[in-house]
Amino acid sequence: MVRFFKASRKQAIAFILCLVPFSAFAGIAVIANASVTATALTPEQVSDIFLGKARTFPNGEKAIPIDQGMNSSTRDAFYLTVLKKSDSDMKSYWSHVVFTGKGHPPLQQEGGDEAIKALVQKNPTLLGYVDSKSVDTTVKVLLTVE
Amino acid sequence: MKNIKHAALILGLVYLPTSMAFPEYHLSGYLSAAGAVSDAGQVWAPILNTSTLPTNAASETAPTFVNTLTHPEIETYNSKPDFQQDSLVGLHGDLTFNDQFSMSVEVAAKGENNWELDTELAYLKYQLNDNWFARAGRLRVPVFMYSENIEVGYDHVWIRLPLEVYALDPHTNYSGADVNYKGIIGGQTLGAQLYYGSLDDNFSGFYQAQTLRYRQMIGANFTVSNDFVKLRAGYNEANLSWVPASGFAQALQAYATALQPTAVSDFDFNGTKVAYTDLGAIFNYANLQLQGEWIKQDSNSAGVAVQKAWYSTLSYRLGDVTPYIGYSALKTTDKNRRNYSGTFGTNVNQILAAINQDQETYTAGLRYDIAQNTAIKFQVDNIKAVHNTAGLFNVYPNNDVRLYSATIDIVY
Repeated sequence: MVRFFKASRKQAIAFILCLVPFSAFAGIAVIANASVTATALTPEQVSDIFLGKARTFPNGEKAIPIDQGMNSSTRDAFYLTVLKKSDSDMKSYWSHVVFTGKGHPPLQQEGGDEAIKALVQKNPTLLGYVDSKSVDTTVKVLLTVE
Repeated sequence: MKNIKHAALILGLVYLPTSMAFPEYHLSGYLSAAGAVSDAGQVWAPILNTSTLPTNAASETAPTFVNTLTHPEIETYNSKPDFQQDSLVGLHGDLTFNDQFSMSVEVAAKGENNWELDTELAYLKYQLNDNWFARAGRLRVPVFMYSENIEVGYDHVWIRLPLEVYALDPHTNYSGADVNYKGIIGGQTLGAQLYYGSLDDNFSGFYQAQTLRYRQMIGANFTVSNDFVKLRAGYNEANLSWVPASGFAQALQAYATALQPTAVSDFDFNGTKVAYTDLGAIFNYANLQLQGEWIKQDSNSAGVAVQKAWYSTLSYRLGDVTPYIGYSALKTTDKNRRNYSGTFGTNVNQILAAINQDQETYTAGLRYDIAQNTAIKFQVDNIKAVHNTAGLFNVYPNNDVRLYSATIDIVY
């Protein structure tokens, strides 16, 4: 049952990403507080922050990654398109990191894009991601991946 | 893995605009429930038993895995199904006080230790900046590529780490301190570790309680990695003393004093230098993974063998299923150091031959990630003691020994 669910979800994401890119799913926007001085991040820099390899923006400002909830399709799309990692890849990665005492997975926030934007608006250290169609002027977009 | 702080901490983030809410708590755990059985049959020849010297009391039974002379506490398998040796449950907790200081504790109960609860890790960590951190307390002995997560079966493709390599140093933790660097340079993640410490290994053998004391443990390990390759190199050494000087060692020394004085120092296990040089590599290409590790154990005493060991494993991930094959080998390269002449040699050479361990293992297995935090594995090992040694068995096996194993590995 678990496998069926995992497979169904991934297939649905793949379908959305590959076949209907201009309909429901526009892309992933990596967002930060509007006061952050960084103007853009590369996928590699975003990946380093979300994998716990970097704890700051390139200019040295503190960066804390914030994840969407486990059942978020935006989360799956973010990891597949930006980090090029599957759920299983990330589980294996964090298992290794946690038990070797080298870090912890990002905090999670349920509530989807609006909840992430609300947190990012209030905290200049947070780095989050939303569906790019949810972006507005209250947050700064540092990377967009179609 | 369970992160138990989310809701409260997220709320805290809203009201703490520039910092995390401290203290943070993280609690994680791991579990392996495993069973193994071998087809070990008749004994080819028991280790020589003489009336003049103590022996390791090897009996003429079917061979069980791993030489009890040198590794009395690690895995033993035989033709009776065993559900203890590879089974364990552990709990890992982190408490972060602020951006600089945190504390970690890990406890585990292992079947091989009759489920006695042990403190595997207990250390204070100081994070100087993004790149440097130091730890002090009870830490992992970092000899091998997989030392830091040696207990977490879910993290490994195999059911158990290749014993030819990982049995060389069966100690999993020490008391001391380390300094670590981790940084990204030119797209490569670089890591370095320098440590110093000590450990006591208490065990029963030769009819009395024994302690192997490792002092002045010092080592340096380096890694470089990217998405496709991880390379590791390390050097670790320690001064080893056997306390109290066992009846076995004392008898050998007394015997050597009478018959072969030049050999007396060979059995003085007080301050024996033991060193490990380890090289490891993991290559990832698409769904293919090739990994290997090579290690050399050096010593300045004939009582501790100079040995080389290595393994290589190829695995291919097909969705949730990962079949793998591997080869591992152990070779003792200083057999001549324990080949004495005259009457002394006649009486002790065969006993000391137990220190010579040459072995080859072919492994095939299947990992099935049945859920996001759960893997089940099946593995067959074909183990062969070679070059007229007992390998990692306590007695000489007659034929190749097949070891059949299955496990369920969980992290939470």
